[in-house]
Amino acid sequence: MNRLRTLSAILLLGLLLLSLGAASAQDPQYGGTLVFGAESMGDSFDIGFWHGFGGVHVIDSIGEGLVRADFENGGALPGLAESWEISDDGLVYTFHIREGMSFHDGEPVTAAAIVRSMKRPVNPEDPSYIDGMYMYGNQGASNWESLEAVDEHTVVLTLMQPNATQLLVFSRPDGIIISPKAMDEYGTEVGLNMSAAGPFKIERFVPGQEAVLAANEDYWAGRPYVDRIVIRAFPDEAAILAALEAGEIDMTLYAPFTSVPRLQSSEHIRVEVGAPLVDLFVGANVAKEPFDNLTLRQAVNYALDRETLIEAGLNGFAEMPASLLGPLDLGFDEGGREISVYDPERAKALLAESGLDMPLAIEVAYENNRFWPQLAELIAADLEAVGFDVTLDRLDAGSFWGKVGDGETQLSLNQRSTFVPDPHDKAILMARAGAEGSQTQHQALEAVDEIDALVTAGISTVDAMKREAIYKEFQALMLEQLPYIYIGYLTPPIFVNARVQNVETFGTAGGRINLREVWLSE
Amino acid sequence: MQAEKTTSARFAAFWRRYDIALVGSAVFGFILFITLLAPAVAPYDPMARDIKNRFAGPSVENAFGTDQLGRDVFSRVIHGGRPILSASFSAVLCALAIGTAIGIAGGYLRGWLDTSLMRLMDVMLSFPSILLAILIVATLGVGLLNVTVAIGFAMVPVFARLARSIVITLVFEEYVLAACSLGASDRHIVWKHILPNMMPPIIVQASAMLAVAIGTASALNFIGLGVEPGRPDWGMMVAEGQRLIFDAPHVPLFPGLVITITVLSVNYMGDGLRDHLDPKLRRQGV
Repeated sequence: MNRLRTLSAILLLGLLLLSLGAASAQDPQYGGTLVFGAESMGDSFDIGFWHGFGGVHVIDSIGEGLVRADFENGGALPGLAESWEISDDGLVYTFHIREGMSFHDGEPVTAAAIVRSMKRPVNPEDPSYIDGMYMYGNQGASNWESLEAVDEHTVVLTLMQPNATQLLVFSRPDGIIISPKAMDEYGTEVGLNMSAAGPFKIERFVPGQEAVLAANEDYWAGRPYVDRIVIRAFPDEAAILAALEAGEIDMTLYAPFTSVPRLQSSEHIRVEVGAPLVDLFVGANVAKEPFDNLTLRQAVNYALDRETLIEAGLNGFAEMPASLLGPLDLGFDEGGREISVYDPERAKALLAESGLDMPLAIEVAYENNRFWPQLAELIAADLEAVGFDVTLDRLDAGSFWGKVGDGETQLSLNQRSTFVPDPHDKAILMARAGAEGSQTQHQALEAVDEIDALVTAGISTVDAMKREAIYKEFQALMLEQLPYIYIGYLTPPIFVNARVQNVETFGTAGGRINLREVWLSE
Repeated sequence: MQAEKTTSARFAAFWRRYDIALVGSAVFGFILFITLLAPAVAPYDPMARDIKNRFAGPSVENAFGTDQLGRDVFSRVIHGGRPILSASFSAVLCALAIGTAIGIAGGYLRGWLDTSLMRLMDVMLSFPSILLAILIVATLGVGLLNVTVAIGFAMVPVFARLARSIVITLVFEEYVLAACSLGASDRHIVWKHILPNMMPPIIVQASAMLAVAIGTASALNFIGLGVEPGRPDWGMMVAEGQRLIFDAPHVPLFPGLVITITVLSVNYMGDGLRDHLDPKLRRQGV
């Protein structure tokens, strides 16, 4: 009996030790350097301009706005503002700023500093003002009646019209708050000497090559786990892949999808799957023949074998599409999946109905990078199978956007990443303003005003239920008009070294990597 | 018996002298033959996709494996020589014709025409040929025809310079002076006396330029300036396969290898031609 007790005690002790060991193995650890492989690195981090995704990753790591985005559940999380109130009419926002925070240069984060940073794009008197800082346009400043620091820790923003996305846009990269000291000291060169209040601070920056970021010991939520982040640019996907396999980088979004099956069997690399935040679509230029014809757009829609496109073109890293809005968006209508279907017979019937001579010569433009060439070939084959004669127009990014902007494309392949978890971030593509330079040139759509009214209603309606109804109507109208033909919702692979833990797969999928909570197990 | 022995001895001596050139010619001839008969020789349609069989390695069914869309790489390699070889041959022939004409005009007529033409050729030569070709395609637009024009245009000064230098020497040859003193017309002298005698070095140069043209056409197609994406073409296949180098190396490897072998065989063939057509080297050899 005693022996049995002793044995049980030993067994229990063993189990306890084992569980303790397991628990400690899962406990986050501080320290180490994480190297992130990016597809580019800009020459500056001035948030008034776009510097490629490498620049966004740096800005997201060093900066913080009044709020942070919650990509998993939607909505805003406290950032530099620990709380806020919005008036019932949706016009007055009162932000309560955390006390005791400081910028990387030691300057205290006060309401006055925040207001100055936020007014940078509209204050030509500011020494850091640069004409044409277009990225600030996302902040909605043209709708601000006033922005004031009412005391040291309270900022009050008054809008002219309600804006349902106003809170969330402060979480964008162009919404980060910059130190007033840096703005004074470096003036228009502040982008090369960024001082913000995010979890990391810039230690070294080699324009176009890499940025070395050090953990901010004074970050309000506590210092991040890793000591350092190196965000390094690589010339192409193959170079990123080689670096990942050699252990030179720990994390990337930019390795080829085709490598996933091999990497999944690797012991030191893990592939995580991102959330379906990015739309992939074919944009039809509705202002130009032949896709000013709705019947042809419908034929293209039914001609696409999306299962094969996703399987062979994207190595399975996408979900079947429904509409312009994604499954995580407010008002997402699942019903769209019944329209974005493969029905080649119907496509042929629509082409016959169009009365045009077949095969109809068309051109498909796309960027010569990532998965686009492979996807384009598959799309061309699908379109040729129903009666189109497709010429593929493979372009570098600059030429592609030049051609799109000039309205010279017929069909073009593109994607929409979302920088904030709000349906307006995608619906804005269809706003009347800017239609002339857009992929679809939708100023030529008969329903352009109706669509524009829904886009406007979507942003100016604060009530969530009402917004949901508006976006459902918007999606239905878009599926009726089909300026975009949907390919899928990308669920991008996130490539990490096995030592990288706690990777956030929501914002990261949209290009908003969050490295605050990441830690390295040695 | 004696005659047979002499023939075999001659062949042995010829082989010893031109062994690499003969191998090069045979290999290039084989590639040319296969390429010309591609539709009959290729086991599969080079555009036929088999999505379920993507990235298959070399096997009995697919000698060079399959690519990212399940297409047979062997069939694509066989078809893929057509655009490059047709562009290269056409470009070299055009450059030879135009360049030789310019060289003869400058070298025979001399004077201001010679000076102007040669300064123009100098300007063209000062650009690296691949950059000049890219510039021309960028101006004319993407397409195989424009790639041909670009390569041909970039090679014109090479032939013009060579032709001029030969003509300058030939006009002082006794048979040319004799024809001249007998009152032969310029056209007669050029067609009957200069052109035939300048052809050996021009042909040797053409063979060397063919290798360059194949390399340049492959490079231009690699960067997407030639054939339409998806069509079988060696350069395009390497470009499309480069991102697969770690995962399915057979996809870029085989077309890359064929480009290398083709260029090498043309170079060897050109070396042999030079040795054979150059009287000094021939005298030293056999």
